Amino acid sequence: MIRLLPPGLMAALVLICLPLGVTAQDAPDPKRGEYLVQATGGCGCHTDYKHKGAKLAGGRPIKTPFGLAYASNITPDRNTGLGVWSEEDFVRAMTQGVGLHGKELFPVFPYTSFTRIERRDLRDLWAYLRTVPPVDQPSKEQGFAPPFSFRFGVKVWKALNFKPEAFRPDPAQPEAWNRGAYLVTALGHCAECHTPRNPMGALKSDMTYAGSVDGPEGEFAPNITPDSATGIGKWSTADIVYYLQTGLDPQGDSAQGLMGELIENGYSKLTEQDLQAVATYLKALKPIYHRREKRKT
Amino acid sequence: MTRLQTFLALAVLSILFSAPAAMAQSNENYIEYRQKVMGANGAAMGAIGDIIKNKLPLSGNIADHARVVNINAKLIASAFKHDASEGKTDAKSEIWKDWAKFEEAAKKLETASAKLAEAGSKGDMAAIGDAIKGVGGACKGCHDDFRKPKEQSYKNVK
Repeated sequence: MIRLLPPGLMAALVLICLPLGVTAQDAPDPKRGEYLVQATGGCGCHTDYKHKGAKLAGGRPIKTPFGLAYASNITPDRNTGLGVWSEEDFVRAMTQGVGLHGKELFPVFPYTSFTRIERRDLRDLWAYLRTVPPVDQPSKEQGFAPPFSFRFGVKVWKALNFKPEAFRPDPAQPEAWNRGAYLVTALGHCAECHTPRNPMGALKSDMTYAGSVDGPEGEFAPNITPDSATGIGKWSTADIVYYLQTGLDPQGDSAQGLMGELIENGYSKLTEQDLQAVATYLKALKPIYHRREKRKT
Repeated sequence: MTRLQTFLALAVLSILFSAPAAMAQSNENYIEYRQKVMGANGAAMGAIGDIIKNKLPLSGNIADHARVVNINAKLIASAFKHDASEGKTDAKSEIWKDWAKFEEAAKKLETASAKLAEAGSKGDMAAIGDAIKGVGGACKGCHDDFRKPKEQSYKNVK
């Protein structure tokens, strides 16, 4: 039988033990969270730049092969944003694609990649989102065509195409490669645009990063594997880093559309070390020969 | 009028009217010209990129490359004045539908490249980095509105 300690002593013990579990480094850090937002490309889908919309207040229409998606308001507004969400709610949305009250979220929101974000990073991201000025702007109804319009359908889709998973570093690879893998596959969510999708809208896993004509906004996302004929095999590590810093490719031409936006509002603000890691990982990918496909329409 | 005079008058008239027709510049001539102007911008920015990313000991050249862009930027409006959006070009017809906006976009490149030239001549690498982003932004700003996306480029249509 365990003898219960007097409540006062119990509380004192808890107070003593707490600092052991929670170090200063573990305290939520909104500044670090802001950096992580930049690593995702700036969460720009949630800002309607074109119509000078408020930062992260949603409402931006995003063209997808299944119809128009509207990014939601992720400012801490209590009525229309994430004001009443807890950190746990946020973590569930990011890693499992489930919103408040068990609402299934459409995978236009790339939880399929964000599921790999580490817990500490999620906490800092959340801490940052709490600091954004709240904006009262109701999120719009999604404009998908059936059957993709049904929330129940999302559940089925997820059962077939999605598994919440943590990022697993490969101990056989150098540190830079692992950091790059994490940035590319989790935060940067590069595959969401650069990997072709099957008719169900799931990423074709054997074609990861081989380029897709069905990128968001109807844009073409090029092959970013190191294939020298159809990918970026001719780009050096320095070329990739410079491109992500400036938006200028080795020919001195500018990144177009969404990629330019992601660079401007996000990737360009990453440290050189992190961009080197991204380049290291991309250069080490298996080259896939994959030319621009014909658009399906 | 003698028959000879009539003949001469007709001959002179026919030369006067046919000469401009024979000399008329085709759209292709304009398209090829302006592609060279824009290509020079890419080459200059690409050269700056090479200096920086490969740490070539040539950072003293950055200002001059930026001046090349600056001079070219001033040529953009006149180079595109002639309306030609058909054929082997990626120029969108929006250029001529919204000429004022296009001119303004070209002006932005002029301003941004002047800034880069200034940063380059001072040799301040942080300022150069920011100014390069500024030029890149000017390129992108104009390209997004007025140039066909690469996947729709005439170069990729077979």
